[in-house]
Amino acid sequence: MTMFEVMNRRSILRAGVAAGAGGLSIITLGPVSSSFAQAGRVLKVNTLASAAAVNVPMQAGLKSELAKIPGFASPEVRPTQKIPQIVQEVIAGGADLGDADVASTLAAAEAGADLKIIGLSYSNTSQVVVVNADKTKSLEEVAAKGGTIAINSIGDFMYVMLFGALIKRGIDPKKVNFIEIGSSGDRARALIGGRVDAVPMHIEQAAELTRRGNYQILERPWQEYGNWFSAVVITSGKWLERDENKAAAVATLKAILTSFRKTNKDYGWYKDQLGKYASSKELRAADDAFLKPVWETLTTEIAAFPDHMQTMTPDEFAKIIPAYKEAGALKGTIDLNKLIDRTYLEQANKELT
Amino acid sequence: MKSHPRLLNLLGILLVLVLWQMAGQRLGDALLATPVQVGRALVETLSDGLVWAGLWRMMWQMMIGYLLALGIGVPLGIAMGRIPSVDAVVKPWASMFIVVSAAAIVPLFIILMGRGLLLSTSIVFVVTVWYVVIAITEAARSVSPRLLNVAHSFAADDFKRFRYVILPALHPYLMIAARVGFVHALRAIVTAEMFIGADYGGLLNNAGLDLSTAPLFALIVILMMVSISATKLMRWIADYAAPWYASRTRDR
Amino acid sequence: MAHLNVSSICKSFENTPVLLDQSLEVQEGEFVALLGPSGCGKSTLLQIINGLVPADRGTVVLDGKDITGKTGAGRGMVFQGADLFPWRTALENVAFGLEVMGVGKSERLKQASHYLNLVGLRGFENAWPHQLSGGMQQRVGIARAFCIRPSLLLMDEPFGALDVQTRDVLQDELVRIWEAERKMVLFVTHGIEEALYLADRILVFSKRPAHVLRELVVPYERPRHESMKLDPLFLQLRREISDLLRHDMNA
Ligand SMILES: Nc1ncnc2c1ncn2[C@@H]1O[C@H](COP(=O)(O)OP(=O)(O)OP(=O)(O)O)[C@@H](O)[C@H]1O
Ligand SMILES: [Mg+2]
Repeated sequence: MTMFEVMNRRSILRAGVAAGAGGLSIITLGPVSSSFAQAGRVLKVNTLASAAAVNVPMQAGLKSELAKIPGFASPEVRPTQKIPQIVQEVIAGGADLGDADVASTLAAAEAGADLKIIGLSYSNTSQVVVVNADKTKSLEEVAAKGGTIAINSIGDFMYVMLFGALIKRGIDPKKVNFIEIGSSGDRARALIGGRVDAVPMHIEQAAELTRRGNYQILERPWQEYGNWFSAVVITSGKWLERDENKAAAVATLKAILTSFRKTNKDYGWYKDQLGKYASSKELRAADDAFLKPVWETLTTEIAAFPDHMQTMTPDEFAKIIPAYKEAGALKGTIDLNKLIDRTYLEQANKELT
Repeated sequence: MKSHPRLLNLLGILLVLVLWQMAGQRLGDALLATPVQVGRALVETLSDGLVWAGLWRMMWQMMIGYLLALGIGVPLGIAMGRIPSVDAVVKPWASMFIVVSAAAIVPLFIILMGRGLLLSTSIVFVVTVWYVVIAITEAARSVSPRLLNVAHSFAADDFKRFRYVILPALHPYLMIAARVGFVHALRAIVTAEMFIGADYGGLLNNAGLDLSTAPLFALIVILMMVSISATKLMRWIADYAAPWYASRTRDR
Repeated sequence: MAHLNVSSICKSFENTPVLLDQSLEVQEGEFVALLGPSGCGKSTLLQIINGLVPADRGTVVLDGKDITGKTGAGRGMVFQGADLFPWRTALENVAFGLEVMGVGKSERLKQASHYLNLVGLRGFENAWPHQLSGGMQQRVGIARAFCIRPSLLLMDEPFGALDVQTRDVLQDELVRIWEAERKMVLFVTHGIEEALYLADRILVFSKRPAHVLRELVVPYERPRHESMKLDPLFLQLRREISDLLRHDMNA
């Protein structure tokens, strides 16, 4: 039975791909129509493969909160190792929603993809730039010795952030070698091994690392830029045309907002969720002495989980566009008012009060 | 001097472990966990039901693609080795696809097929089948023409020559192709699962986030043990099924 | 009445004529040796008679049946290197021809075991070919050919790869077995002495394209003995054939 379903879906997918753009709707219909189960609709949501401390509230919203809303079952949360793949699958209709990084979303939208930003995975960023203070004291120093900075991938939001930070300091970014190293764990190891001079990583990883030596945070993006957007909830305009999908968008945002609010109010609840949904074993098992400061930084200094996602406005996003232009990641022709759709967020906020 | 291969083997392993331990202590567990740390992590990992469940799901998904690759690759390889026209048609594709690694095709396959059983089966199949085809083609082509002549002179027709000469001559190579194919299949499924963060691949991803390398090494050691025991088992089956070959290779 | 009649065989390989209009006959129970320089076409002729190589022209008639271009049917072949199947035990190798014919397992193993005993390999039924010496392997090869009870035995330098002592022993063995079951034999060899010792009749071939230089009936009764190799007539015949071949080479 299931085998036939799979075979069926494949042939539908095949046909869809062969038919090109016109076939996109068929692809969308394929998986979506099979997603209505008795217990409620199972949404397909592509998320980042690894859940750091900053990702946990959204993960908890999807996995713990969404099923509490009538008509919705627990969604199929699908971890995705290659970040750009998240946007690609949303465009192709393989996923209902995506937890995508801002860089690939903006780039795809500028290239004409039919994408909508409907929410925030979290506001701001929890990534900080860490160096071995015994060897390096500043970004100027890194540039002067022709040093190396490890990032996830050229053109992503951390790359753009660093690029902008270098320019602000009057440093020619060409003097720094950017290399791509997959996971933040590998980047931390590269720093420990002395292979690279500076590495962006999550604040909790930085905190962990400072226990192992004279590692220091050189750069906090929110101090540089205010709100450095990094991950957003996206879907396609086509998907939003159907009423049941509009309702699903609102429900998903309600679930995430609920989780955001609980996180801000209740450290104990957040710690619980972390124990369930964080990817790293070390993080899942972390004690209060370690976790509490991380939670404080996330909820206050970084303000990563705004109760109403109020930071999600075209004006706020407009502030980061120049850095993307400078880094060559965007041309700057993007229409943020078209890309960012606050309709569902506003509805969700209204229904929650 | 009499040599004890078992003892030498053990000594070699011991030496590597000692060197590893020393290097690990110098570099720290963030770069290179020591065997002792890995051993401890291994015990912890093995007592985690999640790991077993992930390993189990990964293995049976892999087996479907792997068995399909053998089921299609072996007959196709024999046909290519014995029938020039089949070879002429298929060979260009085989030599093209054999260089395609799982990592290169997974993203496309995810978009085409989603993330279910179909994805893992297809990835494993596509990556494995060509190794099987190429190995079997070579083996089928090099079946001794003299032995085929012997069978022919005893009035064996095409079918009987296939049954009595080609198949038994291929047997050891079938077993080799099965072993090599297994390793490729395992690598393919691990790659695919790391992309979609599923099962064992997801565990590998997560372990990579920890600063200590011990849990990651433990997961890799488990994979190595799976691979080694599977190939050992297949070698044993091969020896059992073809005592003539086992006895010949042992005598050498 | 067993009888082999090969007539007017022609064969060329890519415009190189190897056999030109060759004919020969073998009578019931006759042992015929084929001698000739290397590359003259002896193996080719044997293969044509065996049906493995198609002739351009001519016919092969065995026991009144035209078997040109067909394998099997009354012929057993012993190959130079024994060419046993490595995945079959000695016994299963001997039984191979019967298995191809569809003879049941117990029956074919019984017969195979008879022939294995006949070639002196009792106790080696379950040995793998690689566990046997070259001489023993060739004994299995001979038993394999005998086991299908052919009326014509084809042997292409069966002892060519063996050392002198083993070859002498096997020659006597072959004669012993053959005398128990007399059949027509075509025996290709480079050894003049071997031909004189084994054969009733010898055909001496010229260099390529092969034709018969001389046909010689060996004037010795059976059973023959090792001592005949010292007989003046034997030595004279040996020199004559050797001179004939050398003269042909230089012509
Ligand atoms: N399949 C083939 N294709 C082309 N030429 C061949 C083939 N088989 C044999 N020949 C040629 O035919 C000639 C006769 O070969 P054959 O093997 O019959 O010689 P032979 O008398 O058995 O020699 P030897 O005593 O060395 O075994 C040789 O010149 C050989 O090169
Ligand atoms: Mg020859």
